Amino acid sequence: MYDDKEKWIAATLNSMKDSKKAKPKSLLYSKIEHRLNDLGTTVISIRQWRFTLAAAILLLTLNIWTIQYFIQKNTKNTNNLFIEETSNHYLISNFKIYE
Amino acid sequence: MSNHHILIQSIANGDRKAFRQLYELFVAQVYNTSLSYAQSEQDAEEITQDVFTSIFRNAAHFKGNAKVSTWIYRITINTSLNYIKRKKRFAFLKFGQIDKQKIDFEHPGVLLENKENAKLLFQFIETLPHSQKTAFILSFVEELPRQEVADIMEISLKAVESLLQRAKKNLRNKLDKLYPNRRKRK
Repeated sequence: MYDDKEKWIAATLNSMKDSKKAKPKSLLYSKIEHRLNDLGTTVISIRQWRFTLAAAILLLTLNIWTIQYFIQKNTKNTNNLFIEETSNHYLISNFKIYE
Repeated sequence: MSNHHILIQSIANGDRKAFRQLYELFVAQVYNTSLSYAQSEQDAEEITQDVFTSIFRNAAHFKGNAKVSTWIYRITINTSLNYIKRKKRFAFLKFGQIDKQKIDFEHPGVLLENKENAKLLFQFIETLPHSQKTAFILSFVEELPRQEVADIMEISLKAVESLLQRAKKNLRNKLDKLYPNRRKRK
């Protein structure tokens, strides 16, 4: 069994020995030429455009949401302050009952 | 100056005929090396296109102190590794299709009687660290002399031997673990 195993491992390690070279498709050179011709111009694929558009929309939405959030928070704060102030007045006037 | 060096010089001056000649001379080398890395014919073609575009753009920067084939091998290896890295980064969009493609990879040039073993070998080559993988592919798939492997990798002959020893040890361990399953299947 040991011999079998060792033989098999050696055969697997050397399984690419004497193999033939793989050949690419014959159209490959014209594809490369096409690329070389396009070297001067930058092509932006539709996929890239979609990603850019999606990112821009996301950014815009987040910005609007943040601005709205802060505006709402500020209005709440000023309302609270007003309530606090009036309640303080009330309390203070109550404390000075013996004056 | 060798013929290859003259070709590179002509390419640097924008000579497309020289480029075509260089392509015919080296396309098999580039395609087969990238095929061993990418383990997909479609990806190997993409890498080959990238390599030759890069050769055309960088011909002027070629320093004549190395062999042209060595320079092209270096470009091929770097381009292949970058391509694989880029592909892995976006692998989550393909939901495991890439891994399946690699498990099923059959080298188109392998002899019929070695097909099953070669399939396993490529599966395990994939798990090796980059330097061991490069040394193994260049020595045992591309069947280059050790000195040329050392020149391509820009390391000493001793370092190549050591990388090959470690690569073989790793592969052997993995094959060893697989052997009992293999016997059951028979």
